[in-house]
Formats: sequence, structure tokens, C-alpha cells
Amino acid sequence: MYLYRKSFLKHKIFILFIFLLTGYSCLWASVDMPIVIGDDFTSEYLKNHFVYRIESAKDSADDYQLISYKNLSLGIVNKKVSIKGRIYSQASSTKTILLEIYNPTIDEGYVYITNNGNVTDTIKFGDKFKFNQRAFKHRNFIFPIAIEPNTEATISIEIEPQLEAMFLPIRLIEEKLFLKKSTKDFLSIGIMLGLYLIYLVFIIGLFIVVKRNLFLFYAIINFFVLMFCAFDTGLGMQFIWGNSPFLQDIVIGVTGFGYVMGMIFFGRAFFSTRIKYPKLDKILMMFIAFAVLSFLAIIILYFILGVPILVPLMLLNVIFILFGITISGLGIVTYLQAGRREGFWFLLLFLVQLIIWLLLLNQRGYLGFLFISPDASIYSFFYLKTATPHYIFINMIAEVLIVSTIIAFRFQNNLEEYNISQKKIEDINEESIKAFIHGQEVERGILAETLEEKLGKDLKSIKREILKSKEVVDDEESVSIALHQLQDVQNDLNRIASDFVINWQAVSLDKIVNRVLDQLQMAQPDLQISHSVSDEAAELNWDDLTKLNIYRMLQEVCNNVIKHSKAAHVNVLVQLLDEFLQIEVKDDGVGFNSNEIALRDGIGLRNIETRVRALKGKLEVLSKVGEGTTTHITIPRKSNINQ
Amino acid sequence: MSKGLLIYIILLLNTLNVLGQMNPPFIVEDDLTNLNASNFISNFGDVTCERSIDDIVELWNEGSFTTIRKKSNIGFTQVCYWMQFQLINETDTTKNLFIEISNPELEGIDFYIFDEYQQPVKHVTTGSKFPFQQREVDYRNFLFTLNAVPFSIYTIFIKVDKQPNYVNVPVKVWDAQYKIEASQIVEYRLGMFYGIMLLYLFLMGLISYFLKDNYYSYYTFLLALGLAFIFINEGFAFQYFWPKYPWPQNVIRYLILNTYMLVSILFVGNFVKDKLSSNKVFNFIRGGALFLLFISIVILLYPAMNQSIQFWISIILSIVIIIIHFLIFAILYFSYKSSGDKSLIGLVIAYIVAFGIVLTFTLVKFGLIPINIDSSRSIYVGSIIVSVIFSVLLGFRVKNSIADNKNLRTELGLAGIRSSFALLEGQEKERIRVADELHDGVGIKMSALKMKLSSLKYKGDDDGRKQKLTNIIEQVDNSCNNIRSLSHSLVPRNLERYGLSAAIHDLVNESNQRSKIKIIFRQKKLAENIDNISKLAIYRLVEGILNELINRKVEQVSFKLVIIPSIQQASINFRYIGRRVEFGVNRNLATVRSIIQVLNGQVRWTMDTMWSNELDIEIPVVSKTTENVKS
Repeated sequence: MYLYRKSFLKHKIFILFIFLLTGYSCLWASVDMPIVIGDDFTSEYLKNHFVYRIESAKDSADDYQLISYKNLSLGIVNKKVSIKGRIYSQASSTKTILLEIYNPTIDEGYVYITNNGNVTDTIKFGDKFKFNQRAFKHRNFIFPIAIEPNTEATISIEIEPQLEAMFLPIRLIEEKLFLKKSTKDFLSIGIMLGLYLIYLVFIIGLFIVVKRNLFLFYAIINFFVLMFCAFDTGLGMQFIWGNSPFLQDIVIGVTGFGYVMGMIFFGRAFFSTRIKYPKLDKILMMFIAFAVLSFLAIIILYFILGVPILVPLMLLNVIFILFGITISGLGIVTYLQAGRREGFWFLLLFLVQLIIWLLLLNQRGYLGFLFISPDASIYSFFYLKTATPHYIFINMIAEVLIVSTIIAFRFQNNLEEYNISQKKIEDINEESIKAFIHGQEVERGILAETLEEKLGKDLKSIKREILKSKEVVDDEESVSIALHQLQDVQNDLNRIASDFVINWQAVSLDKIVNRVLDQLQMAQPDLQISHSVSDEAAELNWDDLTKLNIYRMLQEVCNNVIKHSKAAHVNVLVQLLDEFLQIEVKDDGVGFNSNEIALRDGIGLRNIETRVRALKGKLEVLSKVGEGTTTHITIPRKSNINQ
Repeated sequence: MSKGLLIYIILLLNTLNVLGQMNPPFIVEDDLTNLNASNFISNFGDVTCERSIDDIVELWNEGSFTTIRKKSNIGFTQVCYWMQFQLINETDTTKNLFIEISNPELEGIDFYIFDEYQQPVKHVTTGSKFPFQQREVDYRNFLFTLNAVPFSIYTIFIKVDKQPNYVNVPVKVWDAQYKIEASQIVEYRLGMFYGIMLLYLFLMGLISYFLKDNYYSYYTFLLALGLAFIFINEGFAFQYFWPKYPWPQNVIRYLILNTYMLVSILFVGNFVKDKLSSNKVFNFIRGGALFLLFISIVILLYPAMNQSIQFWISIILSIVIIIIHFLIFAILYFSYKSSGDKSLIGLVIAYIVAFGIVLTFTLVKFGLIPINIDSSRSIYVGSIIVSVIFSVLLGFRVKNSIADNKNLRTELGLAGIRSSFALLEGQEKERIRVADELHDGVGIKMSALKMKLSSLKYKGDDDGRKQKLTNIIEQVDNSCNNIRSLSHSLVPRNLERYGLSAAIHDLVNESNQRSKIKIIFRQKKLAENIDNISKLAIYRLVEGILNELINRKVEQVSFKLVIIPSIQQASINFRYIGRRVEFGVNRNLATVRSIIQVLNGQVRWTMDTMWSNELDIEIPVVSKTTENVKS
């Protein structure tokens, strides 16, 4: 079938015919011919040279069939299988070649080597026996055969009935080549297992960091996959439990059970938050019950009653397949329902697993047994060249890459979310500052109104009265002092909350500075004020809010001069430096220790700071006791002018 | 036959020992697994490098070979070395043996076997300068087969060509089957190492891609280079990647090593950038990087150079590696000392390990440590240690990142609420400012004015005039009172001093005194663990609504306050009998409305009967605990 399909796809029918004819003649010619070992022999499979038979009571001893596949795969037959054939040496000297059975999970078998009619070697093998007892310590079963020049040896292999599939890729191989193949083989297995091991550590690390059960279940699944690999590649036997071979069966049992359970719980943890389907949990629980019952059945029937049964084992495989299909289905549902990217990724993941699992079952003959017929001699649906562990390894790598990428994506989302949140907080804070300033301005207006209503009018009337009283009072000087004092109070009120509503658009920066300095002069008539506003700075079209803030900040700084500085001179400098507007207010007053935070709070610097922040500028106050105070306000030009 | 042969062997051995120049022969016994042949080797340095095997055999017969026990490592040399040892199969079976030279870097090897009659059995020319396929056994180290027939003597000569690299010739004799068995385990372990490092590299690659942080990119690159270097050094690359082309071996190896140092320097420079203020270190790092770039160019010309220049380049590179590693370690150490930054500890440890490995290897190269190449395990252990350190650091980073994100999310929610209070805060700030100014400035000045006026003297004793002056003083006094009460009403001082509960009780008492309406508020305690501005918002709401209700002369006013800081919410519930207040348009309720509006609060009216009204207001509050979280 394999030949047919391959040639049909490539060539026309007549080529097919010729191909089949030659193929058949080759087949015919090599029937039962010994494998010839020359000086340049490297390796050869038993295909077309050796014969096999599945033993049963009614069969005669002669019904051997020729092995026509590289990897002999008989499925689950639960009967004794015999293989036999001959090798003939044409080498110039004694040659040591190795017989390799490339399936480390054979329970029990015997190899008989007959040289010139005498049985020279009978070797017992199987994973029932301790690893140390093997003649050749390798994960596969290896038998060195020394063959003299021009002699013939007969090799016969008998494998006892076993529950596992009769998957028997067998070859003869020369030592040097075997060393090459074996080192490559172990290097790649090591790479895969190392990769998977660290992946497991990575998942456990994630579980510890993130504390989500999902990762724990996933780690459990992966642990069992790793155990399965250890079992299936014979590495467990070679490196871990070689001295306790009985563990081999227990490991595979526990692994199968643990894997299914892990998958179900993982599925439950994963899908429960993603799919709104009330019966989901019931379906998954049903799987659990099904799996538990199957395992119990196997344990009772096989291990306790000793009945060699196939049905529960088959059931178990059915569960695997059904479960794989269900999970893939759930992946589709997740993808469709939640529209999530991860639904797609997990769907992909489970599909890969399902396919790998089917390939594995096919190769071992389980599928053929289920779906073709138990009587069929070759149980694979289609023939695959690759050896078993490769499927699992391909699956592992696919999984590692997919899952790592998913996790990295999530980590990236986390980072993005962080950045977005940070940006949002910045925006909110900016808005807050604006709202804060707005609140201040609104309240200032209301308060100005209130002050005018409650005090302004009174003060005006008092002033009138005092002016009138000038004539009745002796001491005119005192009256003028009183008037002066009253004016002072009125100035204060104006300063505290003048309802300064102007059309900001029409006011340039130099006018704002003049206005503030006029107020300062009015409050402190003796103060000498000098100022300079550069033309560039004055001409720029600053936006209204910036102008208001500059006005208020200058007011606040001047308030400090009035209230605290006792200065004789004040110098205000406004200029444009590159991309910044710099405002400098310098006095020669008493100064203060600018490092004392409490003091800074007291003199209203917080208020200025708020406004500076709103303008994305910088505030710097330099002062020392007795040495005056210099306030620098720097405002970026960009983002504060009208475009 | 066998006995005679044995005697022959013993006699031969005695003769050789009498000569005093030969090591004892290597005896193959039944239980041979593997044995180091160094103890049995004698050698001869051929300076001219032009002697043929016949000359050498003659020289050996003359006793010109010297015995150097346990030293297979000669170091950098410009001399061809000939090694010789004898092997005797004492068993009665044919032994399949592998003779291994476990140094894949040897460029040219001539391997000769002679039988006891000095007849050549085998001659193999190999080395890393020949294509891989030409090897007798496809293995990354050099393996030579020998089928030793029973009771036989073999003399083995190995010629190691002059090469630009160091010369280390560890020779081992293996039972063939045992070699296959043992190599599985060795390759399996190495495979595990590469597997682990590959996934680690992949994860680091992903992380550096997503984090877009130079720190991780450099590290990933370093890791990849380190891994590639080991892979080449162990001979894997030659075997699996370019078996047909032996020439890239050295160039690629040196380039990788040099790039490794370059990236190392950039990585460390990048890492200490923020931690050191001194520019000298950066100039130094820049200088180092430029120097290494120059060396890279020199290495590219390597294949075109003659052997003695290549030889000196190898030596210089070995020294440069040590110096660079030492300097990097020193920079890191001093950065750590001067900045006290704990994140440097991991890196310092990593470089101690790296420095240790590099030092050991260089000493080996100079022949100062007679180490077998197999013991390059230190590299593997070292890489694993460094990886573990970085994984732990990364784990912490991920953990912090997740925690940061969580905190930020809380903060975001908080910032949202806080921002709605900002307007209110601005208003309150202004009120406080004005109140302070009135109280401390204007109030005092008015008092001074009053005193001044009181001190005025009148012209004559006219009562009318006196009265007039008294009136002015009274007016001033009145203004003083106004200022004081305004200053008080602007800021509810009780709220600040005694808390929300006390302030509201004061407000209720004051209102009860001011008007005839009886206001009922029975709650003794309120949840106070909300921030001041939230308290103020509640206070202002209660104040505003009570004032309006008093103005409207409603009856039987009662209210309740529920503050739940944990869900950041407060609700105020008023009940009264009287006309419904038109909330939306009432001018007196402007403050209340604006507070509710800016805080995104909610107002609900319910009318039980014609006159009985209920007013519910809900506003968000900022709880003190969440505020602490932020700070």
C-alpha cells in the first residue's frame, strides 16, 4: 500500500506497473536469503531476510511470514512471537556485529544464536530483568554476535506474550557505526529531555510566582509526559529504576492515570474561566470516572486476577482519543465564544497532542487493532519510518515553543498593561492638577465677591466717615495715619482675592508682569522694583491657562516678598532660553533655609509647585538666611503656547 | 604456545626496563573497560618536524624517547611531538579495542601500529584539519580501532603535528563495547546540558524581545555565544554542522570568543552605566571594546596567516581573555562597592565563576595544569550556576512586575477617585489661604486701625461729634467681627481638630441654636478612616443642605451618615417634612451641586407622602488604608 501510494503520486500507471514488477521480483529473490556480512558491512534491517510468526495452537510450525517492513509492528497480539533468519560472513576476519532490538519495553524474550548448527548463545532479555544483567548495557536490547569468516549463523528471537504492542524494529549493525548512531541518538535524547526538564522547572517556577493552579496541573501533566518518555525510551530502566524492574509496569500505569487526571483537571481549570457552559464540569467529571474505572478494571483483572485482558487497555486508549477530541473541541468553542487568542493557541496545542497520540497509537498497532480487524497481520494504518520517541519529542518541542510563547505574550501584556496604567495615572494626575487650579480660581472669584459684599462696602463707608471726621479731630496727622492704615487693609483685601477677570488672549506676558509688580508696589510703596521682560518672551503666544498660572505664581512669589522677606530691592527677570521660559525673582531680604521642608510649606511654595507641575516646568528656590531669596521658574515653551 | 609467548613478553619487558628509557607496556586484561594510557607513554620532540616514521622507530630503538609520566598536556609549543606506548593483549580472546585521543582540537595526527615483529599493522592520518568523513570512527574525539589478537604485542606511535594551538594528547584505551556503553551516558549528559541551555536561551530570547531591555539582550547574546563556543570546542559542530569543512573551526572559535568578550564588556558597561558617575570607567570600557573589535578583524585574516603568526595570536588571545575577564570582574566589584547596588551581586558571582573557568582553561592551555580535556565539565557546571543565578533574578523580576501591575491597578482606581476630589481640594486650599490672610493680616490691621481711631482727640466737647467718632469705631469693630466670622466660616477648624463626627455635631448644634427648626442627628461615631478631603466633602454637603433646609423653614429634619471606607463610598440620608427642594436650579445649593457633580455622586429624591421627603446622596470617598498603599 505504501509503495503503491508513493509511486502513484509520482508517476504514470505504466511506471507503477514496472515498479511493482521489479519490486515484487526483488522481494521474491530475497526471500529467506541470509544477510551477508562483508568487510564493509554497516547495518541492515531484517526486512526481506528474516521471517516471523505469531504462535497459536492451531497453526503449524511452518507458517512463517517474511518481514516486509523495516519496523515490524504486529499490534497487541498477546501471543508468543518468533522471528528467525540467517547471517553469513564473507569478511576476511572474525567480525563482531550487533543485533539491536529497537524497543526497550519488551517484557521478556530469548535470543538463540546458532553457529554451524551448534547453539553458541542463549540470551534472556526483557524489561522484567535488572538492567545490570544485560550483556550490553544500552537502553535498547543489544546482542553482540562474533561471526567467523565464511560461516553461517542462525538467529532466532522469541518474545513472550505481553500486553504491550509487538512493535519490533530489529537491525544488525556494525560496532563503529553503532557508536556513531548511539552517540547521536543519546545526544538528541539528552537535548530533548534537558529542554523538557528545564521547561518543567520553568512551569513550576511560574506556579510559585503566579500561584495559579493551572500551572500546577500543567506541570503535573508534563511530569507524567517526562515519565512516559523515561519509560518508553528505556532511559528510566537505564538510569533510574534499573535495579527494580517491577517499577516499569507501575510507572506506565501511574503515568497513564496521572496524565489523564492532570489533563482533565487542567482542562477544568483552563476552560472553566473561559467557557460558559454549565455541563462542562459534568462532562469532565465523567471523564474522570471513566478513567478511574478503566484503571481499576485493569488493576483488578490483570494484576490481581491475572487475566490477560485487552479490553480495558483498549478502553483507556479510547479515553485518550475521546478526551483529545473533546479538548480540541473545547479549544474551538473557547476560540469562537471568547474570541481569545489563547483559545487558538491551546487548540493548536491539543491538536498537536492529539495527532501525536494518534501517530503513536497507529505505530504501536493499537489503532489497527481497534479499527481494522484483530486478525490483520500489520496493524498500522500507514507506515512511518521514524522511531517512536521522535513523535513524543516533536510534540514536546512544539508544546514548549507554543506554551513559552503564550506565556511570554502574557508577560508582555502584563508589561503593556503596566505602561498603559502608568500613562493613565499620569493623565489623571495632570487632569487633577488642572482641576485643582480650576477649583482655586473658581473659589477665588466667589471669595472676592463675598469679601467685597461683606467687607469692601463697610471699609468704603468707614473711609468716608474718617474723611468727614478730619474736621472734627484735632490731630490731623493721626487721621491721615488711620486713613493710611485703612488703605493698607483695602490693599490687602485686593491682594488676597481680587476678582481679576481679564481677557487673557489680549494680555501679553510683559503686561502680566507689570500688573503683578504694580500690586507689589502698592502693597509695599518703599520697595525698589526693577524688571525686565525680553521681547521674545513677551511676543510668544502663550496659552491662556499658562498666562493665568504665570500670573498666579508671580503673585504668590510677590506675596512671599511682602510677607516674609523684608527686602529693599526686588528684581524680576523674564526671558526665553532656548526652549524654555525662565522667570527669576530675586530679592535682598532676610532669606530662609531653603532645605527646611516645613518652611517651604509655610510660604506657599506648594501652591507654586502645583502650578509649575501643571505647566510641566521646574521650580528652584535658592535661599540662605541673611542672603536673600532667588526663585527660578522654568517652563517649557513647547506644549504651553497656542499653535 | 601461550606460555612461550608470555615468557617472550616478560623477557622483552625486562630488556626494555634495563635500558631504562621505556615505560612499562599497557597490559590488556579480561576485565579491561577503559584505562588512561598516559602512564605508559614516552615521547620525543621533533624540532625539525621532518622525521619519517622509520627515523622515529630507529630513534626509539636507540632510546631517544623520554618518559613523561602523567603529563599529556604540553601546552603551547612549536615542536612536533611523537608519543609511543606498547600494548600487550594477555588474554586468550581477540579484543576489540578503541584507542582514543580525547582532544578534538588537534590539527594533525599520524597514528601507527606495529606488531611484535615491527611490521606495520595500521597507519591512519587524521586531525581537525581534515574533513570529518575521513575519520576511521565517526566520533568527535579521535578514535582508532585495534583488534588485538590473543597474546600479542603492539607498538603504537602517535605523531602530533606542530599547530598554532596548544598541544594536549590524552590517550585512553577502551574495550570497544564499553566505549559504546559509556559514550551513551556522556552524550546523554551533554545533550541534557545543551537541551537545558537551549530552552533557557529561547526563554531569554523571548524575554529580551518582549522586555526590550538591553540587559537581557546582551545576556541572551552572551549565552548563545558561550553555548556555541562549547559546542565547537567539544567537536560537535565539526561533526554535525560542517563535517566537510575543517577550516572554519579555529576562525569561528576565536571570533566567538572575541565577540563574547566584546558583548561581555558592553553588557557590563550597560549595566554599570547608571551606577557609576566616573567617566574614566566608560572611556576604559570603550577603549576595551575598540581593541576587541580590532582583534576581531585580525582574526578574520587568521586563515591567511602563516602558522607562527597564528601561534602567537592564539597565545595573545589567551592572555587577553584573562585580562578582560579580570577587568570586568574588577569593574563590577568596584561598582558594587561604590554603589552598594544589590542587583550587582548576582553579576559579580557570575563573573567570579566565569573568571575561574577562564583562568583554569588558560592555565591548561599553557600546559601548567596537566588536565585531561574531559574535565571541561567545569564549563558545564559554571554555565548551570550562572543560569540558575539569572533565572532566580528573572523570577524575582517577573514576580515584581506582576506585583507592580497589581499595585498600579489599585493606584489607578484610587487616582480616578482622587482626581475627582482635586477641584474640591483647590477650592479648599483657596479658602484656607484667604481665611489665614483675613485672620492673621487683615484682622490685625483692622484692630490697629480701631486702636488708632480710639486714640483720636476731638475738637471741643460736642457730643454729636463724639458720637460720630464712636459710630466709626463701632463700624470698624463690626468689620473686625465680620472678618473673624468670615475667617471661621471659610474653614471648618473643628473638622481638622476633632474629626468629622465632632464637626457635624457642632454644625447641628449651631444650626439648632440659630434657627427654630429641630435637627436630629443621633450618630455618635462615624468611620473616620477616610482622608481629609473626603471628610470635608461630606461636611460641605451636610452644611449646604442644612442651610438650605433652614432657609426653607421645613420641619422635623433628621439625617444619617453611612461611611464605608472599604468600598470607598459614603451616603447621606436626609428626611424632613416640607416642600420639595428643587435641587437642579436652586442657587443656594450651587456648592452642594458642584461637589456632587465633580465627585460623580448620585442624588435620589423620594416622596413618601405629600410632605414627607427623603434625600439620598452618595459620593465616593478615599479611604486612609488605600492612601497608605499608595505612599
